[in-house]
Amino acid sequence: MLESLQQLAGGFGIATSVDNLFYCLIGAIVGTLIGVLPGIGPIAGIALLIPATFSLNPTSAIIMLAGIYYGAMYGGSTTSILLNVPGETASVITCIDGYRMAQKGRAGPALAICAIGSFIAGTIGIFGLVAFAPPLARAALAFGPAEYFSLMVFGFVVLSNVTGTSLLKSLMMALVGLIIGTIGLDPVKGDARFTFGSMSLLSGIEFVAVAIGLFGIGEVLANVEKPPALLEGSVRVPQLRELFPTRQDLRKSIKAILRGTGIGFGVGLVPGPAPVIATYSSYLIEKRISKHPEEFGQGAIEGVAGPESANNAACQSAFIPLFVLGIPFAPPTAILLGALLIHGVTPGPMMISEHPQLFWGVIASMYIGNFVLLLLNLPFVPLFANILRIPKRILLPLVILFCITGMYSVNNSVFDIWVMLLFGGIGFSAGKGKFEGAPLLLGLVLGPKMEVAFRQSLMISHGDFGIFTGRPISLAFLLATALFLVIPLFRLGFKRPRKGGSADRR
Amino acid sequence: MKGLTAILIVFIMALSVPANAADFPTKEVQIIIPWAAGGATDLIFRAMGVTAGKYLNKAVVVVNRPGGGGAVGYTDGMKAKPDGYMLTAAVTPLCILPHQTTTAFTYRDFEPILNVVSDPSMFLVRSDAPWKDLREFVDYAKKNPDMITVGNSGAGGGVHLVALAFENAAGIQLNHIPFSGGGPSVTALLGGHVNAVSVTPPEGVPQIKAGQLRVIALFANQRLAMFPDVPTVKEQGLNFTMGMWRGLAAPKGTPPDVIQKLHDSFKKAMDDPEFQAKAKEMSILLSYLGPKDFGALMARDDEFLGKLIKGMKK
Amino acid sequence: MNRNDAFGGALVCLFGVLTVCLSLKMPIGTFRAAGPGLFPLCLGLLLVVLSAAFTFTTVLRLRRTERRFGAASDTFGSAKPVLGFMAVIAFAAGFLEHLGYAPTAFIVVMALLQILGTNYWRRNLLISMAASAVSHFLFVRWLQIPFPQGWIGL
Repeated sequence: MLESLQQLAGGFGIATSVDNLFYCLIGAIVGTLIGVLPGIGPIAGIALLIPATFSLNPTSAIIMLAGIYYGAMYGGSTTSILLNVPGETASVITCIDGYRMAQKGRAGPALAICAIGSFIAGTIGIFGLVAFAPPLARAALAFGPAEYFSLMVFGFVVLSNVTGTSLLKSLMMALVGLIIGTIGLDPVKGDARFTFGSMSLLSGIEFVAVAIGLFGIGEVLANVEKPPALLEGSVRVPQLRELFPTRQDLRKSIKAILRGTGIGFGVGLVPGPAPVIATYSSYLIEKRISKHPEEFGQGAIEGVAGPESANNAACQSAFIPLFVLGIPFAPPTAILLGALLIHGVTPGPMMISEHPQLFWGVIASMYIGNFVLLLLNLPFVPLFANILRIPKRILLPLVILFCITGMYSVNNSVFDIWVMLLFGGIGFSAGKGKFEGAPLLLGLVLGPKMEVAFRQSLMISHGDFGIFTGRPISLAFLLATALFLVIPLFRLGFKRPRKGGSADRR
Repeated sequence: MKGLTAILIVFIMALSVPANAADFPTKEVQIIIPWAAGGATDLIFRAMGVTAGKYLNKAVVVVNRPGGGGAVGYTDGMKAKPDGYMLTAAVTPLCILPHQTTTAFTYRDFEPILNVVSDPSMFLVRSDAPWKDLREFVDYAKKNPDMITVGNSGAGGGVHLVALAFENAAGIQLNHIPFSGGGPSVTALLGGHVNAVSVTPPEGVPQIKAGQLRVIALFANQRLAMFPDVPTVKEQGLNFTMGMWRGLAAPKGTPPDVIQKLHDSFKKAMDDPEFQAKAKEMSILLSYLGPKDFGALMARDDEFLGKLIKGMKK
Repeated sequence: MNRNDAFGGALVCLFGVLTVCLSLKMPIGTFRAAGPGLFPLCLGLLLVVLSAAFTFTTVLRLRRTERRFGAASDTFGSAKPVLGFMAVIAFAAGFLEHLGYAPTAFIVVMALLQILGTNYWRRNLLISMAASAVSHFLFVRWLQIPFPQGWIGL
């Protein structure tokens, strides 16, 4: 530990050289811009810039690319809050309360708390990375297909009712998501399923298309349905002094941020859709322990602060398996792995001893990058918040153009625009019946991974279901899931269920 | 800094001019990668594109068209105008996909330009695995059919087919577990959830160097430079080699002189010390084949893989 | 609201039935070696059970409340602009590859602005031109996203 800190200090020396600070800044700025655009997520952003780093030395190159990665995570929340357009998995939850806050004229505090929460999470995450990296990474190896499946089941049942309206309704939506997730090539055998002979459906339904459709397009459609008179002035224009969080906001958020950081850091170590599980869990926990759960879904600042911090912490800890095991658990880190390989650095068990300068330089630059991002983002808050001053009859068409552009850029595919349109219609009609989009998206993300883990487990065990109950971690998850389902049934016998915190998100 | 300005360079979008080999190329050349950005093929051609651009005097742009395990990109590549401005990365799945599902294309719809990389395939086990060498591994598998679990990067993918073909060649039966990519399969092996994995470098290489994993079977023609102590399967008395290739192809009907020009430029890029160094850093094995030999290789593998897949479906 | 619930539940149930039917057409296999149809089949069955239970209880509750308060009517806004917006997105999806990015962007923004109010067509024209020019430079030129070029090469 002491030695690590010494080396970290050396890392700071490397990261604060003028060159590296410059690349860190460039990465952070480009990342923020890329994050703001829906569709072009960190993956595409890093890939686009890899060739530009060929002429740099490996340390500078990775510092810049890592800057893009977490810069994109910062930027991703902006469109969710302002326009209800989640550009990636991680910002779906931010839409729920963030967009509500913006509608109430509190876009500024929402945006600011994202930046502050991410900064705090990033800072704590760095120290976690230094202190616990190797043992944690080894612990993550204990997750095989069986553990993974049980974790997915747990996440599916517990997290689907994230907004706490009706468990049955949420489970239904999550199941619909799971089923949509089975469209495309069978992940195990490679047969085409539910594709109706369409080549585009072979690769499955694009998550971003469903997310932007359900939230962004659905919201725009719900807006234009209102009589024109209502279209103007339905958003309260923020005053300047309202742009930053109040003391009360900060007091409310700080615990949420700390809890979110813990959750995110832990979840980020487990292979799989960490951003989703981390953000959903954080939201759920904040709502559960809140003294005023009825505020959630109506613009509760904790509902933005917690998940955003969780997401950022998960991004930090996702570097641990990459650096320590040499294995990327998440797609953005997979791209970074590629970039490292191009620069002749093979991340893995030997990386810290073979390239100590690079390792500690990058770690230190992450910290500096987080600081730069905070400085960069806070001044942007008023600018972004002012987007809402544009009259809706002008803003809405631009939002549509923005969605179409972002959607196309994900896969360069027109088909995705059709999918987005379809789910826009579904989101619009589902909103009328208060059927939620968030559980459906959860199902869509978890579905393929759950199926693969399920079938892998049974292939390994030759069809014996004992593989799920015979292993301690897996058994623990299954028992927790069972408890979660059974307890409400008992409670039902004693008292009438509390009225759901009516989370109308439209 | 140089790289940075390169991104900011504004492209001049010239209206397309009919292909004429003498002044080809007049605009940037695009390469379709039928997979998402960041994969091995993507990285190789991004690195190569930068170098090849020098020799073509026009930029080489990588376009990712992922979907359908590569089917979407190959369909687009096949349909592209045969003028040499829209090339496609020809990788082994080009000869796998048409046998698995109904696709609009086969390898015959493309003109081979050159082969760039050949990936040797191998089986890895944990260093504490009970089998010391290939013989012990095969003997154990013969006595306990279907008990050794072998991870691969996806059902019907290249390394899965390698494992199936090896099964046939060695007369053993393995339990194949598909994962979603080489990374997850190596993780599962490290965690002890499977007994072995079928991979191509650079997957698993850092773990081998760290002594956590070792190569139990190497299906290459000769020993690898990075692991000179690891004997090939052939050396151990089992006549079996199999690898993956990554090359470049143009749509059918591209004028031969344009193909020649592209071939010459990309060949020069392959020999360029800058690209050679990059390839070495990425531990990829460069293996040049000209248009004719590359075409023959595709034809041979198409037949072989077709038979293998037919056997799998039974 | 409950009426919508019942309607939605029934729709979801229908989706479940459809899933079950379609997955039965695929090989199911065994748990040891699952076929492609097995997992969707399980999901479909589960969905049918859940949504049927949901619809059933909602309808029961609906009857009870309706007897007490009479049927509640929902307020629906004007459907015209909603359909208009969807049609414009469909247009973009259909014509992007033929028209190219900048012209499509221009038409999309212009049409949508017109749907929301025809009074200011000059202002609308200006906004659409600005929007398509700015996004063309941002996405096509600067970020180099390979958008289709279309007939006029933009």
